[in-house]
Amino acid sequence: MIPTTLIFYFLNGLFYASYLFLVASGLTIILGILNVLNLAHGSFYSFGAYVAAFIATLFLNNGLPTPSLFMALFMAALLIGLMGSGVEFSLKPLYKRRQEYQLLFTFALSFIFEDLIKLIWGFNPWTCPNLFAYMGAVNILGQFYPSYDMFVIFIGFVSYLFIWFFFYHTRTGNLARAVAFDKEMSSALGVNVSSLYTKIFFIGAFFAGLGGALILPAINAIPGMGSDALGFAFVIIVIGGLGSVKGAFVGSLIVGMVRAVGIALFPEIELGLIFTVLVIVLILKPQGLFGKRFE
Amino acid sequence: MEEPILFTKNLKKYFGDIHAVDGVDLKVWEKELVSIIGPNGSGKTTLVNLITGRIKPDEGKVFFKGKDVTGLSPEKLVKIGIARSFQITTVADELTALDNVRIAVLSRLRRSGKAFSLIDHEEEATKEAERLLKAFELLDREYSLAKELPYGDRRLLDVAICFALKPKLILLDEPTSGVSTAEKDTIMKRVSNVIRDEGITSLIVEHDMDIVFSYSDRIVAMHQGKILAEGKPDEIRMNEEVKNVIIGRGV
Amino acid sequence: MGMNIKTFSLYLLVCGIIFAIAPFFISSYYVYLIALGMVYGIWALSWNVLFNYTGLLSFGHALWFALGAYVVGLTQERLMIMSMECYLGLTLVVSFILSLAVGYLCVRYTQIYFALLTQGFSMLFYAMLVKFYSFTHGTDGISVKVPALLGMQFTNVESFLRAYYYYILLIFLLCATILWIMMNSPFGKSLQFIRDNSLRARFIGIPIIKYRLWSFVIAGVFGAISGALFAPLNRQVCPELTYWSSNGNVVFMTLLGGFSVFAGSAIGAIIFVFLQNIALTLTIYWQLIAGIVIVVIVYLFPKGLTVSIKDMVVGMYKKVHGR
Repeated sequence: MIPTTLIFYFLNGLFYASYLFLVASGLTIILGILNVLNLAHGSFYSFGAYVAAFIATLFLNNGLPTPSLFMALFMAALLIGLMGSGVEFSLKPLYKRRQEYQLLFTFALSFIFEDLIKLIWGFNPWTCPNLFAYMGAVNILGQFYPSYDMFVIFIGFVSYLFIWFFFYHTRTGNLARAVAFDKEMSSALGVNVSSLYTKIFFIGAFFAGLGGALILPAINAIPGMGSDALGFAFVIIVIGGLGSVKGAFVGSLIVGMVRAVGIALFPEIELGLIFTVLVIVLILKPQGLFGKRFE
Repeated sequence: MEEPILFTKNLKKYFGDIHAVDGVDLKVWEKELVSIIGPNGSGKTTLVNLITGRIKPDEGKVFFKGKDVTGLSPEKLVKIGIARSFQITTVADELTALDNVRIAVLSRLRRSGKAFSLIDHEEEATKEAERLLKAFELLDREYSLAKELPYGDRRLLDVAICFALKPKLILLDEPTSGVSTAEKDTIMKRVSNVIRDEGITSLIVEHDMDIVFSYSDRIVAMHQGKILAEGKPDEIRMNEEVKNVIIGRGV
Repeated sequence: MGMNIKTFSLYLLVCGIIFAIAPFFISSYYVYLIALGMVYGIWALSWNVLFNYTGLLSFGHALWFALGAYVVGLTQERLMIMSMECYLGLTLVVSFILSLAVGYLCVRYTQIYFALLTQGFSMLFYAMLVKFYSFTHGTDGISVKVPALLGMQFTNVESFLRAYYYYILLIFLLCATILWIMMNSPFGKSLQFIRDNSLRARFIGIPIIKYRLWSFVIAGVFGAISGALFAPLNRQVCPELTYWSSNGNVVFMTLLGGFSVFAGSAIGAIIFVFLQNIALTLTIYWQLIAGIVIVVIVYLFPKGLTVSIKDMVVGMYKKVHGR
């Protein structure tokens, strides 16, 4: 029936939008505040999935009940946050150099991380559907939709609220926005820009890692997932405006919906469709929907 | 009296509530060396930006050699004969001093697009560039990269690039800024020598009053976006308003 | 860069001679590697036109490489044409038109936007190659048969490779010469001026968008030529040639050799080929090694290996001679 199908496209769109937002928001935050385009950001996402798989398997092997897997997901995300801080440390010596060096460095990191995943966890996909099955399904208009996917959508929204709250109502967040606006002045006024950068990278990596961790129960962890997600994240932040979290949110919704429809109706051109959108937006409105300043 | 080579009519530019340039009627005659003085924020640089096409005015017009050139792009104004230097040294750091000037010459000669001949084989451009470098006493460093030159020489290079365009009117935005007091006069002397030799009309924004009084044919004093007073150096020196607002501040 | 034509000609001559006599001293496998290195060398030199001489970082240069390769593959398969010269001519025309069109859209933007936009086009091309399966064979790619060189037919691959090596060598030397002249011409110097100070460039009357566009076209055309040369060498073309990771390879090569020196990217390309081959015999984790090498270079040798080695040698010389 037509209305039901539309609802499922819509829900699928929200589902894609949610985990893509988690990746894209981190990317745009790091870009907006540090002015670094983190080409290794996809690796945070993929490591999130793999680390979550690892911890989940650990829990299950030790007889912990399925709901504890929620903890596994969040623990994975926290660990990825630390990974992000580590990446930021290795970037510190490069800030005073040409921006291209930072791009090249994060690009190299993405190569290293991609192969590390293959080295540690092999070439085959890792699955852990326990949580997905455990949550069952909800009945929507006579059809069933996975509750876990609803959970992911919920986390996506909550994350947006959290990020908004963080940047507008906490001290660190406000300082971060000040630094994004004027680094020299903030530093002159006594802001510890260096430690702020580390914290921001933690946050950006945390959310990307969370996105990957959340995906694990629904789909799987597979080599190459990082670069796919990064490609979408690029499109999202361009549509939304580089550095804008609100833009990342709206952009994720747009890309999520396009993807839901694309996968359902025209599976082969899905990738091409996304990049066509990227090119069109860059040409028509390069500053995206919500401009360049971090907001 | 002949027509001024440059004049502006009621030129205005706003930035929000700020009237950066607030109705300026400037006149400059051929071969004059006119200095524009005024405290920070009086609109000097904005005026220069308006005349040289970097920004468009909100009201008013700019006339050059009788033609309306209001709002034309910098590229077009260069072709018409207006060139400028910058307050913050704006040169190509990774190129040699020679190339910096040579490229400007080639641009003027409409030869900058030549892609299948070597720049070192461009005799006319190279000779002219070296002649200019010599006039500014930079010839011995012609093969040094611009970023390797000491600050004062970089300022001179910035100005030399302007002259390479053989303009009819040149606007120099604080040519001696950032240079030690001892060097200022040396630099200004070289610049004014070339100006007089080539017979170019020039408009110079300057803060150093010694320089202004020594070298100007005429002085225009600005305050809060308007022209406060103008006249020969002696007249300006006597002007009470100017003394209070500008000279008194000892900038 | 700071070289005059006599010095350049000398280097070129020495290079040409060494490469010409090399096949008599090394196995055919290494001859193949050097040929591949020269092909990538043209590709890297063309990328560096944009990066070092115009100041534009392109993350989509694999597009042109793949374009040239597919022009060969499709012309051979669809039009039954076997002449290499035909392929090159067609590649020139097609890439000129396409780079003009794509460049027109891209050169209005700089830095991150330019990088993302070029990558977008590269991935777009990838998606098209995969999608139009009936025309391009999708991810299977097209296998390329041995073409005719200057009318000469070849009965087996070995004899073809022996001749093709010299064919590539000549074109490589020709491309290097043309690009060197262009980068040291008034146009090339104007490009560098735009790179250093686009504001001032405008104020001396240089049409910066137009010149950037021509730079883009030059890069695209030479990039496509290298792709066309690649096809008969590899005897297989596939969409991965324009995937985002391929874009990284050309960046890697140039960084390896040093982008601030004209020959740097070509040298880097040859080093890359050997590095990749050595690494692949040791481990399948080639990306890991490549990544680590780039990291080391970025930290320790930011000007690239050749320039840094040159600096070190010059530094040691000065120390020894007390200057």
